[in-house]
Amino acid sequence: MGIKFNGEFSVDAPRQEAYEFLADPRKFAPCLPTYENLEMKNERTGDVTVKVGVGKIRGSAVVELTLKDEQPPSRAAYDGKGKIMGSAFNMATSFDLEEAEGGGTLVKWAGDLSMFGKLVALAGGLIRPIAKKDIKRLVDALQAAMSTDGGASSATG
Amino acid sequence: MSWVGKSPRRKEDDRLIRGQGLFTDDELGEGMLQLYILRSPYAHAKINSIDTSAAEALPGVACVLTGKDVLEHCDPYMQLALEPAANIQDYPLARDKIHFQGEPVAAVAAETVGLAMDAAELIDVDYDMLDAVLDVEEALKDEILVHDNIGTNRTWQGVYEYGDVDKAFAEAAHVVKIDRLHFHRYSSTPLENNACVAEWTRQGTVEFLCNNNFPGFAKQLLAPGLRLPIENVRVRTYDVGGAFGNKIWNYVYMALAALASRKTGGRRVKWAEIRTEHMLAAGHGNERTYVDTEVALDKDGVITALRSRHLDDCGAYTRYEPLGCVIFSQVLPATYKLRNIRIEMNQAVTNKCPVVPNRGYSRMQQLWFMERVVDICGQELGIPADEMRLNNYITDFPYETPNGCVYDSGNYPAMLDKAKELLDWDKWAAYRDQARSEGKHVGIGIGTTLDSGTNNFGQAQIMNPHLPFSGNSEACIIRLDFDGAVVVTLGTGPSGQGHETSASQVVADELNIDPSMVTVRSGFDTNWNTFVGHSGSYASQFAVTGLSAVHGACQKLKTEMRKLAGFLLEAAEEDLEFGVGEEGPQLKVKGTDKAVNYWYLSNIVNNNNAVLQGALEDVTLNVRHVYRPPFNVPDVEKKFGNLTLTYAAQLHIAVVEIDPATCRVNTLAYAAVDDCGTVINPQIAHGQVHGATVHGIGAAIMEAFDYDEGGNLLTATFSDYCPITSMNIPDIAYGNIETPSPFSYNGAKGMGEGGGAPLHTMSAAVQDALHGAGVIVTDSFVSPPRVYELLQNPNRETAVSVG
Amino acid sequence: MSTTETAAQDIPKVAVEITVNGQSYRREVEPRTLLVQFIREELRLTGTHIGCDTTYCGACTILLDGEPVKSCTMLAAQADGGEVLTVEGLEKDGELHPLQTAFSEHHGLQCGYCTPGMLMSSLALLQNNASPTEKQIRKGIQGNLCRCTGYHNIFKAIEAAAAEMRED
Repeated sequence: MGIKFNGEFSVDAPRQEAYEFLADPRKFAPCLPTYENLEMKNERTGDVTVKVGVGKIRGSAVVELTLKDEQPPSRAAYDGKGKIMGSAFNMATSFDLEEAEGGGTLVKWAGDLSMFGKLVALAGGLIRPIAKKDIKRLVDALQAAMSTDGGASSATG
Repeated sequence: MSWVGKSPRRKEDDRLIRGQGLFTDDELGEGMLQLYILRSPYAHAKINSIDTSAAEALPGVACVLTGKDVLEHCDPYMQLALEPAANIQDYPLARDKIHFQGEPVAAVAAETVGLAMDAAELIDVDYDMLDAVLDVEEALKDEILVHDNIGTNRTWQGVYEYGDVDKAFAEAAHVVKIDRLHFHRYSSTPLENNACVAEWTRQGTVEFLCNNNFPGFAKQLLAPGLRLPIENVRVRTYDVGGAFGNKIWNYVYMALAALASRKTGGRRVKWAEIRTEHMLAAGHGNERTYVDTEVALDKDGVITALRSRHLDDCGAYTRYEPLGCVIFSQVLPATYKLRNIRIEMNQAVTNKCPVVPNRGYSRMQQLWFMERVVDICGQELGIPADEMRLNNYITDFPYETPNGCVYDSGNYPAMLDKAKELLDWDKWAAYRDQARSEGKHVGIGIGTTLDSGTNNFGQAQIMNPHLPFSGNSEACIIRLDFDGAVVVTLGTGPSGQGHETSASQVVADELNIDPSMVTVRSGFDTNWNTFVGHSGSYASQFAVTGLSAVHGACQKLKTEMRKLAGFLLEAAEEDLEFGVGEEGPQLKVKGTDKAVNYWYLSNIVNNNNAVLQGALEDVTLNVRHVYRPPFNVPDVEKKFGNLTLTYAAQLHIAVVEIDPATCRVNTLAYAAVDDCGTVINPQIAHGQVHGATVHGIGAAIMEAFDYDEGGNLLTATFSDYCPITSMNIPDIAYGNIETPSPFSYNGAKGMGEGGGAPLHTMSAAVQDALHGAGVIVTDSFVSPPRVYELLQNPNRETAVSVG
Repeated sequence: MSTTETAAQDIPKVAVEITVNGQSYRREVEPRTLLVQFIREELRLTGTHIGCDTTYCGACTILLDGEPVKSCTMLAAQADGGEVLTVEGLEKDGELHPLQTAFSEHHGLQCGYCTPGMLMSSLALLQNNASPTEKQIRKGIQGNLCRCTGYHNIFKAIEAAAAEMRED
């Protein structure tokens, strides 16, 4: 099953600064919800360990995250793949950055998550709301990390 | 006293009602390892690497198998297909590529199933996902290849053409064009999953206890797959928890248990499939799409010609396929007398679970298609469904179809009359008309179908002329044991059909004894030597092949017993009679009290043979008979020949009402009439009809294997697939007629598959209910979402046209 | 994955004591052992079957303290101290239970794989309702799948057994 999301949010940081943050897995990855650990394999690729789970079923998943496309200062895109509980997922995430009116940066993001395997059959209906919640948390974290005043910019998604 | 035609209590029941059966998973043993298979979450992917080190390091893990082991110790399983599909590399585990979701990637043998599962989670497989091709029409474009090495997804193509189709269309009063029909994917999902216990002995043989339902065939594929002489593979079954054809190619996975046993120095290894694995990877029924259908009819609604293209989706591997591309032609014209037919049959692989024969295999797809054709033509021309059928039914038997099949006997109009009577047709027709005037969706549908039984394996040559298969056969051994017990060994490997009971009825009649005096061994064992290449339970044939073998063996045994008793009693053989005396079963000189019992006869031959003074050397009281039906090799070029021996028939009628709020198809009344020729055991035959009917109703309204666009199976558990329960079945009024087959010694016709009758019937009834709403039922699955979709988007304008 | 952090063999076993068919058994089992595994593998009573992994099919139905339970959906540890009745416990002193006889006489089984679970659900039904209607019978076994018989003969068998049991 596939889930496509997109939205936009704005941050105080100027475009170049926001770009440098989003295009660096070392800075970007810790904003992922339930982030635990990052192990870089090379400049563009790292294994991110996140905690995952539904209800009482909990575990860790390793996501291999690769910076796929970088067009400073306007675009950064990642490909990710990982597995969890006998299932696999692939995700593509992109950030397009525009200078916002009155300073700061408008970030237009898009995510495409594909799930394969047992989890889809068992919990297919649950994945969309969970993914939606986690994306909101990610956006909040990114805004907080890139804003001088610690967040509170507008976001839609 | 004749036992055939009666219903004595089943021999099998004694153990099964006590929980004392031996299903494969019931085999326990000290030190037995448990195998768990790691399966691919992707439908189509490249395997970059597999790291098993963490799994192997887990205490309690005995071995881990990957594609490497398989390449080292196995040869790819033989394929029935012609080249290039013959070159599909079918191994028990994936090697470098995944072809469907659920394909085995690795297998772990450990001390417990839990440990094996834990270890499987530690196996790190690095995949690169590939785009999947999930639709047969897309697959036939060859843009995405399932198997790169064969260069195409097409596995078969052939044209079945008979009569003068173009002339018939030129002369037709009406031509009805049907855009597209689709027979959905489902299977009968036996309650017992696949399982086997394997032991690779120190002598280099492999012993299997398993639940395969065509063991004669499985052994011929399994042995070369494991690089063993056929004699070195022993295949045994005992109680089998339903098969319905679905256990025909579980040998593919059985090899993994054997390899794990080999790798662990000969420990016994059990593999017991889990339900989700079964749904993902144990085989689905053939999915078929029918396009460009055109039907020529005369002014009275008699169908004179048909042309169409059929596209069969066989999933990721061919295995038993492309046999389905020929099997359907056993019932090419269904129950109808048209003589001009052109059907182009195509098949392709897709990134879905491979198909497996499923109750009504490939014939019901054809029969559903023909029933849809008849009903759509009838609706469009304003001819009632019953009249349409009476106009078109075959009525003279034996009947040779345009492609050379011989329908042995039947009486479809009589079945229709009987079904109408059982249903109370007039009452329901009045109800329907009244309900319609109140705006309700009520419909009555008729489904006529055939259960062709006893295959002529020569039809495999139509699919692939190089295959060395033809005819059919089954074996039986009957002997007198030391104590005089009559012991019967079958080659049929049953899975719930009561073969032990039916065989004992035949023997009892032949020897004039009671069925309780006949021991029929349970299960199947190649070490018993009672098997031929065709041995197994499939294709509706036991009543013909199995019982003919039993009957033939009885004749041989009786001849020997008469000779021996005549010698001992100094009587003429024709003066002897079989029966039961004070000392049990015996032969007696008619009109005297001179008799000899079975113990005495057996003991003479087995322990006390000096009495014979060298006479009667050929008497062993241990005889084997192989029954061979009278078949010829078909004409491969013309696709012409008799492909099956008997044609049982079913006629069902359903009355349905569509719930306007939920779009649920509620069955208000249901009648099922069966004709399987002479009935051997009415209770068993009735039970088969009921079972097949409920399977078909489940398939029509509840059960489907649905894939999403990524190749995920969305109905991979029973809770999603929802097999039909006691709450979902209508009351079924049952009746039968008997038109004895002239081609079997006992007049019986193979039965049990039921020809998918309820699918045809439910489609017809739903269409009758919704035709006024502009709906043509073009899919065999009429679940509430599908019916909702039809009501939202009436399709009559695009689905059908009349010229 | 969580399983790597705490390997199964490091988790202490738990002691359970369960009475099955009138006999008491005490065993040390892995905490994750399901009741059905306990019955089949520890006690080697293989009449109770496994047909699915989502509590749908009912092949594993047993009675726990008189109530029908799908034994694949309960841990053995949860049944500690309980009394279990399985298909093997239905026959008493060589006498088949009326349900067993009726299932055979009415051809309420073909392959026999669902039969043990079906018998136990039927027994629970009849213990609560000596004269069930066909509708109540359907409801009583709605959690038990049979893929062979089409259920019809099972209804007949349960009706016949109910009549027989009312006479006794």
